[in-house]
Amino acid sequence: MTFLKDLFGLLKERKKWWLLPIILVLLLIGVLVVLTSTTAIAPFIYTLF
Amino acid sequence: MIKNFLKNAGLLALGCLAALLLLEIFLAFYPPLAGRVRGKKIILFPYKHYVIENTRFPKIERHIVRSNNSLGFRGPEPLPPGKKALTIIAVGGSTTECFYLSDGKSWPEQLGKELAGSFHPVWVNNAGMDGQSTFAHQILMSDYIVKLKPRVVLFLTGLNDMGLTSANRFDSLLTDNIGRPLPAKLLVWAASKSRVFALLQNFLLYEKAIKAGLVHAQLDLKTMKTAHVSKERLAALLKEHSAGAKAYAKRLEGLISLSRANGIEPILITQPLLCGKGRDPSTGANLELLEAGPEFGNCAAEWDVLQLYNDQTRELGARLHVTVVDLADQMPKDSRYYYDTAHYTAEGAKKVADIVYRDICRPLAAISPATYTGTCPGKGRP
Repeated sequence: MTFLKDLFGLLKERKKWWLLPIILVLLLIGVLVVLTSTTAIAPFIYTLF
Repeated sequence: MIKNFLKNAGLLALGCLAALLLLEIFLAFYPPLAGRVRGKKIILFPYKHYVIENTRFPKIERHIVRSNNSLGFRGPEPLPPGKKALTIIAVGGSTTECFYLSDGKSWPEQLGKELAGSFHPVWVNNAGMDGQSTFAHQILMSDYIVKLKPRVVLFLTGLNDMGLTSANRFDSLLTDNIGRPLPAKLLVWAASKSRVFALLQNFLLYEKAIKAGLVHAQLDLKTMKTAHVSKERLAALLKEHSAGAKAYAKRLEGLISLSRANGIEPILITQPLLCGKGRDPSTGANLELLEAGPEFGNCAAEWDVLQLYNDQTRELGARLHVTVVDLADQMPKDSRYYYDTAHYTAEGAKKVADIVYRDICRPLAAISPATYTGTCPGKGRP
């Protein structure tokens, strides 16, 4: 949490807001890797089509 | 100041683009969800293998092993080309796929084992996919199954078409551009080009399935709430769904025509549900009054609506001389065969296979006499 706070502070201080989407995507990738390494995500393939 | 703002906005746009590209590259190498829809296409996953430690559904096994073959379907590998065989593919939604049953236990695979006693050689594959409606079946048929040229296709249909209330709303999602709002058009277009948007599209379709109350669930019939549906509400529901049922019949007729135009004999199967009149013999629960979500109110109303769709299947079978297995009528309404109101336990899948086998064995013998070994149940010539 502190790391995220520091990171946000850095973006604010240096005005590097353009890095924010890249950081968010890296976080999302991390979440996807962790979630899909277990099988809990399997039901999400139920797509009404 | 304006110059500075424009510079920052440009940098942010570049950052977004870089992020999108990064995610796109990641998804190309590591598709996390095996999303089955991309734009207007169905994606199959050959050799996809799932090992699921099941903690959600006590009625089915704890350790589930579920694999796809080289075609992306469940069941044995295709026979060598040129070999004269009775080849059958089962098409349907989750009640055909039987996602949470291990390899060999889905009803089409169990049916294959039963048919092996009456036909030689015989090959049965399970092309069922969670959430697929008759519209998706048309795509699956055109893009994949017609090219495989099976002798017979079994269609277990109705439930996923029923979940979509009106014919117009549903059809507007199916046709290219007519009636679909611009954001939806853009999403479908973007999803066909980009894995990021395809992932988003799959999440939206999943949300749609949840809203329609179609996803897998473990139900405890003993503790489920009950609900009453007035005669007026039921009449309104039936009226509302009559247009949807007619649109469904039209699509099913299209599937029959498409099959026959390609030398494939269709067989229709009506959709059973653990709902309707009477009590569940295993728990004593009243199958009429069980609560069935905001759309239907209770289980009896849901069953009555589903029967509108099943009636279309029956009527179509009679009119077009297509064999119909009336599974909806023959499947016992007993919770030992279901882990929710629609999806089968392994025992239920075996029961489905038994019923389908009994009803299609003789018609199949007439379709493929060269492979028939003369052991269909019942009397008389096929």
